[in-house]
Amino acid sequence: KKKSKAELSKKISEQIESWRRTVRLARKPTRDEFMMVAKITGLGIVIVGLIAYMIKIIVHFLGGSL
Amino acid sequence: MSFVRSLEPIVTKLPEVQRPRVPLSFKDKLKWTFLVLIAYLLMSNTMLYGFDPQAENYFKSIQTILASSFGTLMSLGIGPIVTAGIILQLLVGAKLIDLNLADPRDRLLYNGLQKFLAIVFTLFEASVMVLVGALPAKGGDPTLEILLIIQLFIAGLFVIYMDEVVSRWGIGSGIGLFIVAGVAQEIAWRGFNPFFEGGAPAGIIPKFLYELVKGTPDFLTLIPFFAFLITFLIVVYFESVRVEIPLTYGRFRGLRGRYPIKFIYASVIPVIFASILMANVQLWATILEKMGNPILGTPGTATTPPSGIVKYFTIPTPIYSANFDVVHALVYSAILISLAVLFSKFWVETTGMDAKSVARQLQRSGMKIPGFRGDIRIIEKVLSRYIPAVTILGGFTVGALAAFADVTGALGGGTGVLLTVGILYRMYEEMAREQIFELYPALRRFVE
Repeated sequence: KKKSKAELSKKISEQIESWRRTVRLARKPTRDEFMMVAKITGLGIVIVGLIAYMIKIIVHFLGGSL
Repeated sequence: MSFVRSLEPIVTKLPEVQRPRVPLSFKDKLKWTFLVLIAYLLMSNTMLYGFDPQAENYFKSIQTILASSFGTLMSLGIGPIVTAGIILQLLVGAKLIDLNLADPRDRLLYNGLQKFLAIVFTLFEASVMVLVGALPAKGGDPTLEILLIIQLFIAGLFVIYMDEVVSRWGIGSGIGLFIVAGVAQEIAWRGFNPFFEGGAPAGIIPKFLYELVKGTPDFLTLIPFFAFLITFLIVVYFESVRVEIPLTYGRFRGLRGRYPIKFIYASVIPVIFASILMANVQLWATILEKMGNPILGTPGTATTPPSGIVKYFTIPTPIYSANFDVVHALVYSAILISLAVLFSKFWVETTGMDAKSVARQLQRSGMKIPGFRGDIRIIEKVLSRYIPAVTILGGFTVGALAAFADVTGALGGGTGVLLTVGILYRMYEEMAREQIFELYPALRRFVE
C-alpha cells in the first residue's frame, strides 16, 4: 500500500508540473490585444444595453408593460 | 430509421426564411440584426396576458443561458431551440438516426428535423410550464391557461424564425444575439434603473447617488457594479490567452504556422452545464417538497431562504447583503468549480477536442511538428502535453469566475459576462471578415 501512496504523490506532482509548464508557456495577451478586445466587447454591451434601457424606460411609461 | 425518412416530406416543407440571393452588404446585415434585437427586447418586456403576477420564479439560475425573462412573452426564451438542437445532436451522434451530414439531402432533412423538433418542443414546454404551475394563470382559470399556452407557442415560433433571420440575413446567430441582449438588458436595468422602489431608486448607481445626496452614502450598494467590471476585465484577459504549438505545413517547407489552443479550452460550456444541473436540483427539490418528502431540502421562496442540500445548489445571498452566509458561499463556489472542471473534461472528451482527435485533424490537413516526420503519434504526444492541462485549468478558471460573480452579485452574472464577451468577440470577428470581403469580393470566393 505504501508504494501506491508514493506513486500517487508522484502522479500529483507530475500533474501540477504540467499545469505550471502550460501556464508558463501560454501566450498572454499584449496590452494592445487586451485593450482591443475590452473595447470591442465593452462597446457591444454598452450599445445593446443602451437600446434595452431606452425600451425599458418607454415601457415603464406605458404602464409597466406593452 | 424509416420513421425519420417518413417525416421527410413534412419536415423539409416547413416554411423557412429565404436565403439572400446576392451576398448582403454589411450595412444590410447590421440593419437586420438591429431589427431582430428590437423585436426581442420588446417581446421580453411584454407581460403575458392572464399571467399570475405573484408567481414564484423557478427559472432564476438558467434565465441567462435561456435569454428568457419570467412572465413575459420571452418566458421560455431559447429553451426549446437549444433542447431540440442538443437532442438531435445526441441522436445523430449516437447513430440512433443514421444521417450522413455530408450528403446535402440528409443535411436538408437534419435542418428540417431540427426546426420540426423545436416547434414541437415549444408547444410541449409551453403546455407543461403552464399546467405544472411554473407559469401559472391568474387564479388558475383554465381559459387563461389555454390563452397562456397559445401566447407562449406563438412567441416561441417568432423566436425560431427570428433566429433564422439573424443566421441568414444578420450577423452571428440569433441565439447569441438573444443571450447578449438579455445580459446587457440586465446590466443596464439593474445598474441604472432610475425609478423608485421602496423609497429609493432600484438601479444601483441612481440609488447610490440618491443616498449620497441625502448625505448617507452606502458604498456597499456599488459592489455589484465594480464586481461586474472586475469580472468583465478578467474574462477579456483569459479570452485571449492561448498556448501556441509551432507547426509547419508539410508541402510548403518554409511556411511556419502556430496552432493556437485557447486557455479556456471548453469555453463557457462547463458553466452552462453546471447551471443547468443546479437548476435541475432545484426543480427536483421543489417536486419532492410538493410530494411531501423534501429529501433534497426546501428550495425556499423570495422570502424564505432555502434549506437542506438544495441550499448549496442555489446562488447564495450576495456578499453585501445583511444575511450573507460565508459557509453557503464557500460550499456553493466549491461545488460550482468542481462541476465546471468535470464538465470541461466531459465536453473535451466527447466532442473530439482531445489530443488524439485534434492530432488526427492536424495530420489530415498536412501539418507537422517542425523537425519530425508527419507521424500522428508525435503530434499527439505534443498536444497531450497541453490539452489535458488547459481542459482542467480552463474549466477551473470559468468556474471560479462564475462563482466570484455569483457571490458578489455582479451585474449580468458570471455565466452572463462569460457568454457575452465570447459571443460579442465572435460577432466582431465575423464583421471584420465581412468588411474585408466587401473590400475584396474576389477574396470571398477563395475563402468560402
